[in-house]
Amino acid sequence: MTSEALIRMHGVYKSYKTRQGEQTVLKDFNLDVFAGDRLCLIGPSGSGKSTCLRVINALETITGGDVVVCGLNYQTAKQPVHKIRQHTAMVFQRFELFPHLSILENVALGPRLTKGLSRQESQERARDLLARVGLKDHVSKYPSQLSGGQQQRVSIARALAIDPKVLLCDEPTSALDPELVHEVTDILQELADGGMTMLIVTHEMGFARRVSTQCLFLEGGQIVERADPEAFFERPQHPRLQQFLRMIEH
Amino acid sequence: MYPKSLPWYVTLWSVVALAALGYLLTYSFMKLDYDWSFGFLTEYIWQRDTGKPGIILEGLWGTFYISFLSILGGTLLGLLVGLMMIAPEPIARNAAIVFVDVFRNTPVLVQLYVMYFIVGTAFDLSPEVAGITTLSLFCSAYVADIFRASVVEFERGQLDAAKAMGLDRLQIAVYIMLPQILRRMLPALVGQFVSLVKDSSLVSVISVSDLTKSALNVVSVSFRSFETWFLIAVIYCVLNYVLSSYGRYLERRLRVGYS
Repeated sequence: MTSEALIRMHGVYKSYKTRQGEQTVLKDFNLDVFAGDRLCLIGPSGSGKSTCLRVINALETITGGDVVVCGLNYQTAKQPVHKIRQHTAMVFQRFELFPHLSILENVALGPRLTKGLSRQESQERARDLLARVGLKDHVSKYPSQLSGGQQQRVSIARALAIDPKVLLCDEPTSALDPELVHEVTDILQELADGGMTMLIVTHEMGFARRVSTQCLFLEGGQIVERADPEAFFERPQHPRLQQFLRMIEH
Repeated sequence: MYPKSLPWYVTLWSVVALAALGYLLTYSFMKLDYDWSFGFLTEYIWQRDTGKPGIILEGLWGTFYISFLSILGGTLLGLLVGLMMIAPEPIARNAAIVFVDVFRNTPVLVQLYVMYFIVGTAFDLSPEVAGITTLSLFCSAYVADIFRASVVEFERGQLDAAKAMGLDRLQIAVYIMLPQILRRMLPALVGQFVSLVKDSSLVSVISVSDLTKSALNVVSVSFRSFETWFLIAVIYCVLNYVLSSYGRYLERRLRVGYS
């Protein structure tokens, strides 16, 4: 199993029907993610970064190809979709916490419902995780009482609570005030140092460079460049990436 | 002191409007040459000689249980119809939409007549059963649409988060959607229930003994329609005030986590 990819996307197509006609977001998209990989997906908007993550979680249905998570193909596996989804967890740009639950329950709900933990066990686990993201004094608060950075940390704890093999982060800092970004990136960096397998869509180039084992540049629904962070930022090959990096430097 | 948010003439206008309304009513009542007497009503509320409730109190009980059962039936059926309205299956969906349109867009009075005199004759229904059935159906059409609206506007992001967690459809419905949807539905639901309690007065036309029917009876023997109907109005008002206060209480209690 060690050599087996945790996530395998093979020849994936994804297109939306719009009023203008068909719009293809992923075009023959191929990606393997192995345990310990920390991949940052970088690219202009509409290049398919977020869609790639959402496809891995089956939040989007694909038009063609195969998505295999931990050996289970969404198209052909006997397991229901929600069982396959339990191998991965996702952190969203806009947090998407459940407003009617305390943050303790936000985190405890997942393990209780998917892993059959008792109320007490799941809350204990939630307490540990919330302490890990520095929120142990806020457990009984509700999401609306927290700052954006705190909410995103809760959502990271919520994602970790189901013990995922891969953590998917969809622009985890894009909705935050600039001075709160580091709260979230610090925690993701800690997770990365702990060996968590991660796929991160981000516009924070410094963070991408520090956290990733490899950076991927997406353009027009395909990966056009894949390199380790140093080469990616210092010696970009693809002209579109060179242009993109010049644009964000200034 | 309260914060001043509206210009002064809005305050002035509302005071003037209220005063005018008060004057209009007082003037009309003064003009009316009528010898007011509310005393006789006590006998219809409670019969002192026999020690039994009078017809008005019996009527209140009628209104109470008919409204209660209709609200209960209407809510349960309404949730079912509401679920059908958002079903992807087109026949069930369209059937539910037609049902809602028919019951919302026709007068309850006509629905009652049809249910009692036509359906009731065929199936030998008592006036009470016909009345409760009609009001339940009528109520369910509104509940269904309130339910549909609050499900449709539920945030996609929260659903994505719940799915990404690996919850199945039933778990998402029960733990994520239902608690929030109930809270959002509550104000509209309470409004609908209050209006149903008032609409329940229509069952008097198929001779169900409710509050309105008892008022008609009292008027027919006492010939004092003003006093009787005023008392009845006050009773309906109290009934609905209790109902909507309870609704507001529930709303406050369910507001945890919302700023």
